[in-house]
Formats: sequence, structure tokens, C-alpha cells
Amino acid sequence: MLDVNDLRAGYGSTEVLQGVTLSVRKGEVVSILGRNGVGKTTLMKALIGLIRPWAGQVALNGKAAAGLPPERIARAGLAYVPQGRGIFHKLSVIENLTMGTRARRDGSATVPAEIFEMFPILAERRHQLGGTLSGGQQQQLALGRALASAPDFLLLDEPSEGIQPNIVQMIGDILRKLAAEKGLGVLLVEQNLDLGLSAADRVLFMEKGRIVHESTPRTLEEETLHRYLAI
Amino acid sequence: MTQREKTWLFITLAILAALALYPAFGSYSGVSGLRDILLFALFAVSLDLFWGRTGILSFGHATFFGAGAYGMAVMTIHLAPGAAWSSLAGLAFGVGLAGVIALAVGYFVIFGGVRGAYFTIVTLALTLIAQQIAIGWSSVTGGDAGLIGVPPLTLGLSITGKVFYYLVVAVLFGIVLALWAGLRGQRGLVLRAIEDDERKAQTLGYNTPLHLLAVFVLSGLIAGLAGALYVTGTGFVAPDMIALLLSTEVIMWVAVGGRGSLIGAVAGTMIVWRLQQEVSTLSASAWPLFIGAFFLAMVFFFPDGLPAAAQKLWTRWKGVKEGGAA
Repeated sequence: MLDVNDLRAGYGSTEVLQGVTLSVRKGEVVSILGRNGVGKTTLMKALIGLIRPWAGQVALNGKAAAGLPPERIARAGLAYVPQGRGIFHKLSVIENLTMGTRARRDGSATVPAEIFEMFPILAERRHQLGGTLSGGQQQQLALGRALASAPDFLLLDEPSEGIQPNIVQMIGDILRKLAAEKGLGVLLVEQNLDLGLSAADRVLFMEKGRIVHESTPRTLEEETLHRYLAI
Repeated sequence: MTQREKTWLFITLAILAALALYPAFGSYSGVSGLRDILLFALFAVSLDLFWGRTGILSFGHATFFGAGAYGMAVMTIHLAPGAAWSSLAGLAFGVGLAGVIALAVGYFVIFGGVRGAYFTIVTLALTLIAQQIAIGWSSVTGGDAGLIGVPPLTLGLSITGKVFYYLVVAVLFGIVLALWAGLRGQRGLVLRAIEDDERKAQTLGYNTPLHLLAVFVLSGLIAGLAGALYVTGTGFVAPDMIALLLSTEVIMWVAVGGRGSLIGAVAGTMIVWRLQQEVSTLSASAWPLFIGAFFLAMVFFFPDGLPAAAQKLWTRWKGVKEGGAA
């Protein structure tokens, strides 16, 4: 269980997260939708520890995680794929994936074979530099690297940004499959409705640093989408 | 082993072989001169270990070389003069002093999140402070004049001449090869990832400040060892061994040889020393002018060192020749 309670964080004197409360169960895909600037990326950074929360609690499998440095949170079972993918451009594909194994709790430094089964292109390009891959390939690498740590929960910040539709579809399928088969909990931030709705069990809407509405993709009404997303 | 690694090993062993044969042909003064240059090369290797592998430039590395030099001098002249074990104690004291300074300063700076240009400026200030202490605390350091009378290295028997030369060659190449082997695997990978983007490495579970501090301290220890050995050869220590100019020169040695390859730092040091001899015979004031001009050129034209710039030019030239877009 990833439990977030009244989380507050910001930059300088500006409070961006004004009390976020949410939870993600194991095996569940939750997406957060919202306009630009409502605090979605800040929430991701606060959860992984890149910015220090001002107040509130984060519990990862029942253990307090708020205020810990990123490496401790990662080793506690939370993986993070940042916006813009965040791969190491000067490292090869296999080196990028190997870097992902540090947070594994079984101590193994070997990239699991199933990563290459999920993303065959990574096996094909294993010695190519990360920076020379296309956007879609980089996103697969970023996802593969995050999964190489065998996390309990996965944070994804706008994985569909700038990527062709068939790869977005593929990522959605993989997330659903991992949730169902491995019990992976996924928290997904999106502006792209396709992925945000098709992959998710639950949809949260964010506005001005708070979660203001919750729904499921099936019961979601047009009017709600319009209210929280239309510009 | 990759092709790149094979080339590296070949170049390293070739330089080692040339240096091993040199005493058979060189004069006595030639051998001791080259020995001093190889100790500066060891110093350059220490900087390359940190700057080359983490991408963070230390402008204060003379602090560690100087700490090793002064540590050795103070121990063998003041604290334990004439004792059979004083050289060993001097080595331990000098290297230890350099390590303690690197650990203390590195801890606060690295865990305090100081990176990039700010790190360079803080370490530059460190050299200035260390230099002021070396000049000001004259009862211990001898002030401006320094200390004269550092005995030759004695480890059971006195180590001088060709024996000392071969010891220096062995220490230098032992360290270069050990660092190369030690940084081939996972540890080297983490450092390259940190150079690429430290925050990303952190979110993957790496305690990146700890990795950086470990490399910084190891780098300081090696610089201290170079300094401590150096003064047993020259017989004296002076403030210019802990000065800003030396911090500047060592950056140039690494830049000329190419950042990150370790053996490049050795080659760069030897090339620059040869050049310095040539330039200095023309005019005594020409050398500082040359260093200044080199630094300006480095910032603008070849921030990753001369070999990287040459390689870039080469690929472009080849591209033009083959008629393709480079």
C-alpha cells in the first residue's frame, strides 16, 4: 500500500501541494489527471524524495517514507520514471538497465530476462547509447530500468509525452499486465486522456495542489472531464 | 575486454616499458628529473580520478599534494628526526593529513549539495587557505622559505637514485592499473551515471554523495602520497607546493592528456613539462602567460581536454573528405 496523507510541499515560499491525500493498493493502476501547473510533477518529486515535503505523511508498505532521501525511498520499493524519461544518455542500454538493479531487495545485479521479453527492442539495442534511441525506445528503456528494481510501486510522470500512439498502447498493456500478474501498484500522472483512462482502475483529478475528485474510467462523465481538464 | 580497453592497456604498458628502459640511457640528473615529473604525473592521476570520473572539477588539489609534502617534511625534520622509522611515519602522516582534509572538507561540501562551478570555487578557496597557513605558521612550516633537510626515503635502507626512480614508476603504474581495474565494473558505472545526472542515479537507489566522497578522499590520499614522496626527492618543502599555481597546472596536465583515462594524465604531465622547458628557455615570463592563454582556450574550445577535441576534429575532417555530412 502507498498511502499519502495531507502532503504539503513547494518551492521557496510557494506551496504547490496543498494537502494531497491518496492511496494506491498493490495491483492497482491509479491515474492523476489535471491541467498544467496543478502540482502533478511536484507530487511525484515529493513522493520519491527529490523535494522534501513540508508536512504530511507518506507510508510505503506501512513504513514512513516522507523526508527520506531518494535512494532510501527507492530501496524501500518505490520506482520513478520522470517526465522526459530520465535515461542516462551517455550509458548504453544494458548499462542503463544495470543501474536500475541497485534498488532490488534481493541484492541481485543482473537485469531480469523478463525485461527483454517485455521490451524486445532493448535486447536488440543493448549496446547502443541511451541518447541515440528514439523517444519511444527511451521511454521503454526508462520503464525497463524502473522495473529492473522489482518495485512494489511505480511512479510514472507523463509517459505518453511525445511518443507515438502504438507505444503508448503497449505501455498501457504492460502496466495492466504487471498490475494483474505481479501486484505492481502504479501511480500515473497524465495529460493524455487515452493512457490515463484506458490503463487505470481509478482516476483522480487534481486542482490547485489537491485531489478534488475521484472516479473510475467507466463511470466517468463527460462533464467531469470538461470541468477539470478543459482550458 | 573491449577494443577500447585493449588499446588503453597497450598504451599504458608501452609507456611503462619506455620508462623502465630510460635509466639505461639517461643521465643521473635526467633520471631524477623524470622521477619528479612522474610524481607530478601521480598527482595528475589523482585529479583525473575525481574530475575525470565524476565530471566535478576540483581547483584545490594542490592542498592535498601540499599536505602530503608538508606532512612528510614536518614529521622527518621536527617530530622524529633521525629515527629509522621517520620516513614511514612521514608517509603515514602526510598521506593521512591529506586524507583527513579531503574527508572533512569533502563531507561538508559534497553532502551539503555543492556541485558544479560552486564546488570548483570552494576548492579554489581551500587552496588559498592552505597556502596562507603554510606561509603564516612559520614556526612549523618555515614560512615563505619552507623547510630544508627532508631526508631521503628510508624503508629499511635509504632509497635514492635509480632505486627511487623505479619505486616511483612502480607506485605510479600500480595505482593507475589498480584504479583502472577497480573502476571497470559496477563502481565505475555508477560514477559515469553520476556524471551524466546525479539526481537520476539517486532515484535509482544510489547514495551518490557517499560515492562522490569516497572518490574524493581516495583522490586526496593519492595526491598526498605524490607530495610526500616528492619532498623526499627534492629534500625541501616550500609554499609553492601547496599553491594556487600548482592547482592550476595540474588541471592543465590532465586537460592536455585527456580527462578520464588516467594514463592520459600521465602523458599530459610529461608533455607539458617538456613544453615548459622549451618555453622557459625563450623567456622566464613566457610560461605563466602561456598557462593563462591555455586556460582561456580550454574553456572556449576544448572543455573535455585536447584528445577529445582532436577526435572531434578528426571525425569532422573524415566526414568532409568522404563527402558526407559530419
